[in-house]
Order: sequence, then C-alpha cells, then structure tokens
Amino acid sequence: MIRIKTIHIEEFRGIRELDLDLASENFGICGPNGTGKSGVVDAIEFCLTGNVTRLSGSGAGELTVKGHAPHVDHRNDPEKAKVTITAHVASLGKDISITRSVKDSRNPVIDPSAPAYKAVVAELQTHPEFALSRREIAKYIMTPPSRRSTDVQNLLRLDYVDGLRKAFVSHNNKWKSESKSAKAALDASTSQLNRLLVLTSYDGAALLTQANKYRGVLGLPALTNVTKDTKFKEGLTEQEATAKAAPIAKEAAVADLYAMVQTVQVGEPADDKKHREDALGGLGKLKDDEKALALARSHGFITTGLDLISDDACPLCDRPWDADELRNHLKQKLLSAGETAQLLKTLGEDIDGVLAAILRRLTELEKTAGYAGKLDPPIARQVIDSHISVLNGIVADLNAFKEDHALVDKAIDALETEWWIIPEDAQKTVDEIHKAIAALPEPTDRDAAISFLTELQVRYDDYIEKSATAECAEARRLLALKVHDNYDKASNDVLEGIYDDVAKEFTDFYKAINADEGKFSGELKAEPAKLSFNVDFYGRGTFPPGAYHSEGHQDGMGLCLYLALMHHTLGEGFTFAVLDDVLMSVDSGHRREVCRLLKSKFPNTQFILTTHDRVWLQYMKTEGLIKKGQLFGGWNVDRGPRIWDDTDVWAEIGSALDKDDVPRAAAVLRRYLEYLTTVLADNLRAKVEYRGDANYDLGDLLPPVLNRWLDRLKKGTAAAKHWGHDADKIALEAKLEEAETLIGKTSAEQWAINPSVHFNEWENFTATEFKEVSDAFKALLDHMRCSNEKCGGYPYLTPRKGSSEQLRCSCGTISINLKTGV
Amino acid sequence: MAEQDDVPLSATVKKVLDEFLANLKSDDAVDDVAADRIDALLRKGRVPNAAEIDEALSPPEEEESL
Repeated sequence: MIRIKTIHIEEFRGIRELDLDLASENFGICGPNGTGKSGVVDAIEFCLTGNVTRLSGSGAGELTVKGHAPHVDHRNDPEKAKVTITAHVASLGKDISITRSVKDSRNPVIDPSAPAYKAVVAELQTHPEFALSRREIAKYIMTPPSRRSTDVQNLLRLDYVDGLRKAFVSHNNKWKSESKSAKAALDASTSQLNRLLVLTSYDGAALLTQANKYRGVLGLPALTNVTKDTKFKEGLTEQEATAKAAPIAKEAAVADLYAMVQTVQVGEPADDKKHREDALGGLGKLKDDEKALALARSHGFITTGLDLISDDACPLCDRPWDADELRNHLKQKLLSAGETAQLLKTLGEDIDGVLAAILRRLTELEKTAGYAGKLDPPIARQVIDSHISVLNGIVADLNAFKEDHALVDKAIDALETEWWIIPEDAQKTVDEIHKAIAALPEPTDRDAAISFLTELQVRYDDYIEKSATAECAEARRLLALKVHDNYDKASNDVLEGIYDDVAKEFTDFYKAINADEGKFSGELKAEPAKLSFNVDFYGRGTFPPGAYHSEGHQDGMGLCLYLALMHHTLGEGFTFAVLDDVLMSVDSGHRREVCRLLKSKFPNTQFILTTHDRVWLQYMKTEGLIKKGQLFGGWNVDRGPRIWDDTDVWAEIGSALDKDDVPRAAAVLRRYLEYLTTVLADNLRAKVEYRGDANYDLGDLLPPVLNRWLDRLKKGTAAAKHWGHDADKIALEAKLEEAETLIGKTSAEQWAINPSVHFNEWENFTATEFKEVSDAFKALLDHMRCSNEKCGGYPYLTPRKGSSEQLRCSCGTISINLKTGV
Repeated sequence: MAEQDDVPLSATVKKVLDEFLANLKSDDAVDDVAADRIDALLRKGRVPNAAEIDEALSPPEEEESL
C-alpha cells in the first residue's frame, strides 16, 4: 500500500480545484458540514479505486459515478473531472503518480507505468475499505449477523470463500433432490416387481425360485443366479414367446389393481399430507409478503445473471458494463434474500415430497390404463387419461414453481387439488378394468408361465435401471455431501482462526480507549452464513453492541473492529486509511485514548481524518496524531470549498500583530487557550467549579489549571524528597520556580482582582502590550509540554481516577512520581 | 464470452483452499484425482456452478461407465 504525498482535485463533486500537501504524514481535514470535506474523501477513493461508494453502493439509488461525480457544472463533461494523487510506495521504495478522470475511470494514468506500479494500483482497487465513513463503520456493529458475515467477509476479501460455500450448498442440494427422486422411482418400481412376485420386500432368492418355477413349466433349465443382465425367458424362441404370451399377465394385473384400490381407499397418506400442508403454508407466506415474493421471484434470475457476468459487456447487446460493479450490485440483492432462500429451500423439500406421492399414483394409473387397451374388447381409457393429465398438470405446475418462483399462484392451486381422490368416472373405468381382468379366462399353465416371465422381465429390467439410477444418484449425493462438509470444515477452521485473532485484537484496541470498562472482551463467532458479534457489558454478560452500549461506545467499537480487521487483512500493508467523520461521537473523555491508539498501534499507517469539530482537530494535533491539517470554512457552488491552512497559532498571532490587528490576535489567543485549557483541565484533573451546562470560559478554567499544575509540581517535589531522589527534587524545585515566574507574567492570577489585565480587555491592548501577553502564554505552555519534538504532548495524570500516582507524557520524557506511600 | 479465469486469490482464500484440498485428500470417499480437479477449478477465482463441480468430481467419460 501507499502513503499519500499530494492530492490534486479538479471539477470533482463540490470541488472546483484543490491541492493538498500531506507529505506522507497523518492529515486532518476540518470544517463544518457541507464545506467539501467528504468531497476530498470521495476524490481519494475515486483516484485509487475508480469508484465512489456513496455513488454506487447500496442506497445510492439512481446515482452513478459517471453521472454525478463531476462538478455539477461539468456533469456533461466527465473528462474535466479528474484527480491526481502522488504517493510513496514503501514496498518499491519509489513514488507513484495516479491520475484518473471520470470519463475513463477504469483506465488510470499511472506513472511510472511499469507492471509493479500497476500492481500497486490493482491492489488498492481490491481494498476500497481503506476509506470509511461513520455510516459505513456502523455496519460492522449494528447489522444482523447474516449481513455482518458478508460485510466482514467483503472487508477481508473473503466473499469468494462464501461464494464457494454457497456453490457447494447448491450442489449438495441438487444431488439430495436427485437422489430423493431416484429413490422414489425405485420404490415405485420395486413395489410393482414385488406385487408380481407377491413379496412384501424385494428378495432375489424368492425371485429366482419363482422364475425357475415358471421356467420349469416351459421345460427350460433352471437359472442358477440372478444378475442385472438375466433373461428370464432364455431358451424360449422369440416367436414362441411373443405368440403364446397373453397380453395381460392376469395374476399380476389383478394384484396391481388390488394394490391401487387399497391406496385409493387409504386416501392421502399422513406424511404426504404434512408435506402438502407445509408447502401450502410456505407458499402462503410468500404470497402475503410482497417483499419476500419479489425476492423469490428474482432469486433464480439474479443467480443466473451472476453466472453470466464474466466480461465487461452485456453478452446480448454488447453494451459495456462494469463487471465488478454489476456483480456486487446483484450480490447485494441476493444478500437481502437470505431468509427467503431458506424458505424456498424448505418449500422445495415439501414440494418434492408431494411430487413423489403424485408420481407413485401416476405410475399406478398408467399401468391400469395400459391394461384397458390390452383387454378384448378394449375398454376406453380416456377418462383415466384425463385424470392422468390433471395429475401431470399438477406435477408440471409444481416443477414450474421450482424453476420460477414467480408462479406461486399456480403452485398453490396445484397443491389445493385433491390428487389422491380418483374422479368418479375414472374410478368407474378402473372398476370396469378390474372386473374385466378378473373375468379373463384362466390361462393354460404354459401361457401363464410365458406371461409371467414376460412381465417379470419388464418389471425386473425397470427395477435394475431404477436401481442403477438411484445408486448413482445416492453415490453422487454422498460425494457432494462429503465435498460440502470438507469445504465447510476447511473454511470454518480457517475463518474461526481469523475471527479469534481479530476479536482478540479488537478487545485490546477497545480496552486501550476505554480503560474504564475493566475486563472488557469481544467475541466473533462464525456460524454458517452468519457472524455473531458480542461484547461484554461491565461484567454483566456479553450482548450485541447495540444492546446496552452508548452510541459513542458503538462508534469506538466500530473503529476498533475495523482497525483489527484491516490489520489482519493487510498486516504491514495497512499503510493508509481515510476515516471520514468516524470519530464524531467519541466523547471527550476518550478522544485522547483514540488518538493514542492510532498513533501507538499504527505508527506505519497514514491516517487521513475528517471532522467537523475544531476541538477534535486540536486534540489530534495536541496528541501528536497529526502534524498538518486543512481547514474548510464555507462552500459555494461556483468556487467550491473555502480553505485556509491550519498554521501554527503563534505564527497566526504574530502575523496579526505585524498588521497591528490586536483584536484578531487576541481572538486567536483566547480561542486557542479556551481549547487548550479544556485539554489541560482534563489531563491534570483540575478542580473546576462545576457548571451544569458545561459552558466554561477561559476564566473558569485557566486559574484552576495553573493552580493544579503548581500543586502537582509541589507534590512531585515532596515525593522526590520522600524517596531521597535528590536530583529529581532539585530539578522539580527549579521547574516549580520557573512555573511561578511564567504564570506571573501571564497575569492570569490577577484576572479576578484587576480588570485591566483580564483577557476580556486584550483587544484594547496595544500591539506591544499584547505581544508581551502572548509571549508569556507561549513560554508557559512550552514550559508545560514535553520537550521531545516527536512527542510535544501535554502531561497527564495517571490513573484517571483515584489518587494520582504519576504525571507523565506519552513518550515518558515527563515522568514525575507523585506517590509518597508504598 | 471469455472465461474470467485465474483471478488473483487473497492469502486467506488460498489458505482455505489448501486446507480444503488436504481434507479432500485425507478423505477415502473422495478420489485424489477428483480432489485435484476440484482444487484446480476453485483456484480459477470464479465461483463454479453445480454442473462444473460435477464435471470436476466425475468427468463425462466416468459418468458413461456408471
């Protein structure tokens, strides 16, 4: 990954032209809402990935990058909208320049253009998550587990892992259904064979015995065994066999018809009834829920569509499309269909159950109708055929629903048909056939033997074929199951390892910014197609983050989870992140810790942070998280954002005084001190008179801060004396003396008793008088802050509650022991 | 349409596929050759459909012999 050096933006979003110099360092962008901060974030994302999430992600509606990324005045000239970023590529030890125009967003100009540099940009394009808004961060925290699973997997680039899981689930389901159908067909075939043999279950030895009994009648030698290729009439010439075979094997036919009468009398079997009623219930749910129905209708279509996207143009009309964008769009649609997919799966199983029952009945009816035509005289079979057509119609409608879920009404009608009842006219014909067959003359033993062996051959061959099909389908089912289970185990093992590592790191990060939460822990638990995220709540148990934690804490959790995920995904490659107003609701008590977390745990990551809160920006600077920033103050459509540099406050005061602009210099100093005294009051736990509205001015804060500072130095001196640390004692005494002198020069002690030196009067001072004041405060603040340039922070007391034990800065250069007891 | 083969896979995805292949090969119910075929299919970086998985597990010539 990269570290950004400069950004040049032209006619992009609300920006006309803007240059930012980040110098590969962390960078803050601050300004009220609507001043163009997010335009910079969009520009960075666009230049590095070719995309703008807020113009293409879920919720973007009709917005598009091509149509709406250019400045509104250039909406028809996308070539004018472009962004150039220069950056340092640590892995190559070189700089790179990337220029991307909205017109040709898929083909950035990369300089140098060597493959290694193009690979860097390609890598960036696969990680759009380097830019994150506060709204996006919420998705890691507040979304349902099924959605979180997808979001997190997308962040970790694991969408392919989930895609494969779904493919194996689908493959497994396909063979489950095929095997079930093949088994049903085999059951029907076995049932017919058993009826012929008068067996309750298939028995090869009994079959051989019966076959040999009839072969004996025909004077044929006994068969020694039965194989799949056995010819039961072997030894009989074809002419003899066909000439003498009765068209109907009476005994078998009577058994078939008797069996059918029995099943008709039973009515709808209990298992089949349950399948049918459950299926009707599921279809009813689909029909009542328009959204679910719409998802069901489009589910198959979208899945098919996804399979077809493999090029950058429509396969039908060759109109160009962005394959990745389209694929993601369709996947988003499928995601929301998760529950519907489960409903459809259950529905499919129930419908399969009903279909198996109807297919059994169809086999019986077709057999019966077949006898009708073989009788002499033949019996008209039309009414039976008509009923067969009705049942075939039901089968067709149910299968059609399985293929196209839009056909819910037809499926409901099909299931409401009482398939198990044979219509009166058809039943009459069945009875007529039954009677006619029963009335057939008893054949001679030889004819009966030929008829039996002929029918046996037909039914046995069918049984062998159905057995082979069922065996093959079952083997495929088992193999598909094995493959699916092996994949599930492999992916779960790997993902669980990842989630455990991420959860541990998340916990460490969150504890670093919320020391007040004690034994906090977070856990990510992966289950098929969902990822649960629970966090401890003050030792009362673990709950989803939104259950009890405040919005500010949830924001903190979102940030910590994001950082842990990015760290795990990119490791040392996590060199760059844009956090767009992500820290907005972090309360002041935790801002310093957030700054320290980013600074200490991610020293090699360049953060670009936007905020609309000036105090937050100052916090970032005070804590040394950022060195440079850009202030945005106002925007209009013609000129874009109005910006000014966030220069050093003392230089700004000096500049104002050079122009004899004392009121401005006074305002800047006052504003700066107001901000800084809030930091120091918090750091030093100053004893400030409480105000319910938290509206403290400089006069409320500065005197208690300075008193506290003197008090802590005295306490440190006493502690050094107590422990016999003479050198420390001497140094602290000198520091205390210096503090008293510098505080005296600021006249802050006299504010209450001498109105002429009060900060409210500063603007009435002469430039010379005010320069003395500002110099005094600068010297005092320099005296308080860490002298290490890399740190430069203001000291703070630890711990944050209870007796102060130490006054220290982040780098440890200031480290004053305050404890006098053991 | 051109096949979108050989899409770069992330390290984590490769780890999952390595583990999957090892699981398949240690499973007596899955033929090693079929395991290699399915592994090659998945490493193309495109989610296969059911027919492609079938073909990898049992190529057509094997189906005919069933």
